[in-house]
Amino acid sequence: MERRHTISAAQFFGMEFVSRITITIALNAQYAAGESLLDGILSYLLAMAVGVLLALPVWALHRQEPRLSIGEAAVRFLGPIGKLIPLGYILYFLVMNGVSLALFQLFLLDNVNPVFPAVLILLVLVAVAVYGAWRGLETIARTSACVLVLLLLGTVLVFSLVARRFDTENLEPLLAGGPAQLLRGGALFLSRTSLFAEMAVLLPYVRGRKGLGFAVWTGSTSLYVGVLILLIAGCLGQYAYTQNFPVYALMSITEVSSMQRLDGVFTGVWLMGLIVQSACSLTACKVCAATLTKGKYSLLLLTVSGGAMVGLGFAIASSYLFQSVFMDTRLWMVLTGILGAGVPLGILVARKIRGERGKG
Amino acid sequence: MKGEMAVLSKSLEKNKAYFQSKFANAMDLIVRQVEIEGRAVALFAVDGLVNKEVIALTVLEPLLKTTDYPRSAQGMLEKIEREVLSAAELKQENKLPKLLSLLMSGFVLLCVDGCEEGLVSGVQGFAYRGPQEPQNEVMQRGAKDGFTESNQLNMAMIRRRMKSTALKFQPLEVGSQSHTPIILCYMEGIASEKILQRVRETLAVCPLKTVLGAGYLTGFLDRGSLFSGVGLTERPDVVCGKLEEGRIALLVEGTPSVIVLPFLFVENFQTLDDYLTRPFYGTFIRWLKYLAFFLSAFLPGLYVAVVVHHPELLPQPLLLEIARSQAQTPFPVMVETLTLYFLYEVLREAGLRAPRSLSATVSIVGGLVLGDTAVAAGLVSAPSLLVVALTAIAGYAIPRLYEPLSLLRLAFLLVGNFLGVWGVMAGLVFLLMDLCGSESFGVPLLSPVSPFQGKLVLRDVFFRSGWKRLSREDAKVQDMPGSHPW
Repeated sequence: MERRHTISAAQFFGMEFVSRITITIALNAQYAAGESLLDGILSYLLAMAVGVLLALPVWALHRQEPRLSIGEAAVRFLGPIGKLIPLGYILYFLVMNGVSLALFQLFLLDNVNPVFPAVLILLVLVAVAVYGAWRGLETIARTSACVLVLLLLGTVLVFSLVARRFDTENLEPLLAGGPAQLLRGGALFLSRTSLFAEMAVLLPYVRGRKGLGFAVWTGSTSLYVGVLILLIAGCLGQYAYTQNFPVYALMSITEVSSMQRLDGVFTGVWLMGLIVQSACSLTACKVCAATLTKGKYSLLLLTVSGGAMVGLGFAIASSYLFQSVFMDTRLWMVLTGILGAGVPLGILVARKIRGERGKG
Repeated sequence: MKGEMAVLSKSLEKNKAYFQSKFANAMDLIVRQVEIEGRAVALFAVDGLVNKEVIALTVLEPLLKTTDYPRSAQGMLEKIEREVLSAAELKQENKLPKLLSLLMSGFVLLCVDGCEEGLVSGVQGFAYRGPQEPQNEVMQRGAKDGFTESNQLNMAMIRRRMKSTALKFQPLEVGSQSHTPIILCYMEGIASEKILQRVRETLAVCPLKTVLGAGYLTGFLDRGSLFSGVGLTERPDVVCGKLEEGRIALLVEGTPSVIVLPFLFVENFQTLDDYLTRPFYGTFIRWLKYLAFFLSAFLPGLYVAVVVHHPELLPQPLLLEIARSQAQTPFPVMVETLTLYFLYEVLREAGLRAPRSLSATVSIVGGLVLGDTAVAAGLVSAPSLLVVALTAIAGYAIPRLYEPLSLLRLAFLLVGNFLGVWGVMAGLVFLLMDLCGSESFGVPLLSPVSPFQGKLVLRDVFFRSGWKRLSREDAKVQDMPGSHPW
């Protein structure tokens, strides 16, 4: 078990920024914005506004019990049944990352078609993530800071190059199709946000101005997603709706000097982000598991969790049935709501009823 | 051992028997017994470690010429210590293990029959190499003297540059068999007490029997990362600069390499020449070295990955050129590059180990004849040869990283071939994780880049600031962001 308060708020939210971008660049334009890409910007803003409300129980619990992770708080305030809570979080993180890995595998199979089994890449990727999680949260946070710099440099390069292709005629009026798409897009963005659950587990390991970090995270991801959607809409127009991975399509039409494709930048960014995201989630799994195992067998647990992630990713990518189940926005909306806000709220209520104060 | 003497005996015969038994079958023990005013006195020394002329002139001659010694043995010894011998290093000692260690460090031992104390005097006289320009750290503008195998000389070279009473040299010893003297060198008030204590503790429990070089100790001071958290240097000016920043130096007797710690990753790219040139040029050179690092580590892997898996990433003219070259060679690009890489490593090793008169021939045969002929014969393609050659040269721009880079190159070559750019990217993140997760005595190895501290990064990492700015504020290593030296 790591020492408490090992990373700064800037490091934690930097790590989450990388995760957010990793999830965002894998989004399908049709899912996110239906027939109006630009509505996606409003959807994201709506998701963030609701997200602030969703985060309130986590903040309140953390304020009351700053040294307890959600698993420890559950065990303390919910009694024996509380032991199920860390298990729920572990499953949530595993499946959430399994879906991300499945999307990456689908991308490889659909767009790149490598000569080797795509699952091999997933195995390597998760092995690196397991190594990071084994080294500790501090290692992942420092690595994600480096990845963030590479990611921003890559993004700035691509955004500035692709901006030349921007055509205002490709833009469509906002909310032309009514508010339904806005809500659908907002739900999609919100459902694929693991930040709330990760905050519930990892905030006790974060020091510094966490509120400010959350605000900067919300603002910066909104800006990033906004610019990204604007560029996709302005540069690709209707072509974006035909693409499973419109960000990839955007990168593949980017030219710099005699280099005619920059999709390597896209896959590089995505892969590095996925490693950081998986490592962060595996650390959250480790923290949850430590509640039950008292910190023992962490390497074994990490390896098993990593294996489970790859297995899930492979299974989801290989089966339409699994895809329809595990990529269902409604399911993730419910899970994110329960684990991001519902459980912390329940623990707060239980804490109030039992009249206990944190001893941490 | 049970029953073995621990201190000197009153009987000179017993003492003589003890030392002769300890040095049995070793012909380098010198025992010279004389009689002074009816009392037996013996001198013990180890041949080759002492200056016999100095012994004759400063010990034996005054000893024999002096008269009116007190009648008691203890009184005689004290008179010898106070009035007869004029050596600078002179003290009484009676513990036998200590006396054995002193004898083997070039001291002469004088024992008086009937006295339980011995008198030891420093008369070292072994030959050692004088300061020469370090072979492995060549500087354009720096000093031309480098450390030698003698700790005394090395200490003097540091002291000559740091005339400060804060400079401390603490003697330590490592090696249960070799009893190798080690000097812990630091600036009091600047170096972290916690790190100093940690170093002392680590060396105190070091299980080595013999220490024949500084490299023996690095394994015990390091934490097993790919990149070392322990630095080695042969330059006294570099050590002085590091001491100024709170670092600690370990001078190991018998080796010209001095251990410096904590040692951060960015220091691999810093040389004294950077600080002796103008800031803009120092900065330029530093960026060249960063580029050289990336070329050296990633170029072969990326080359193979792109050619094998992602040819679409290459501009068309380059792609056609590579394809044309590849079509004329019988081996896949991976086999070709790997073979060239191993050939290069073999040639490098041969050039290093071959007698000096032959090393030039090895280089010519290897570099020109083999390379040129291999391409002309169509065995390897010119682009592959170019990539390997460029990688090798880039590696020499950062010689401190040669060892990890040679492994990284190979690893990236393999993952690049089997998993394409994705494998290289995963490898890069693994490398970052290894770097970010490693520490050198509680100081993050990648500090101040990650954890990031803009002021330090802009001061002496991404840019080499001018001396006006560098001298304005101290940058102690233990104050790096994320440091927690116990």
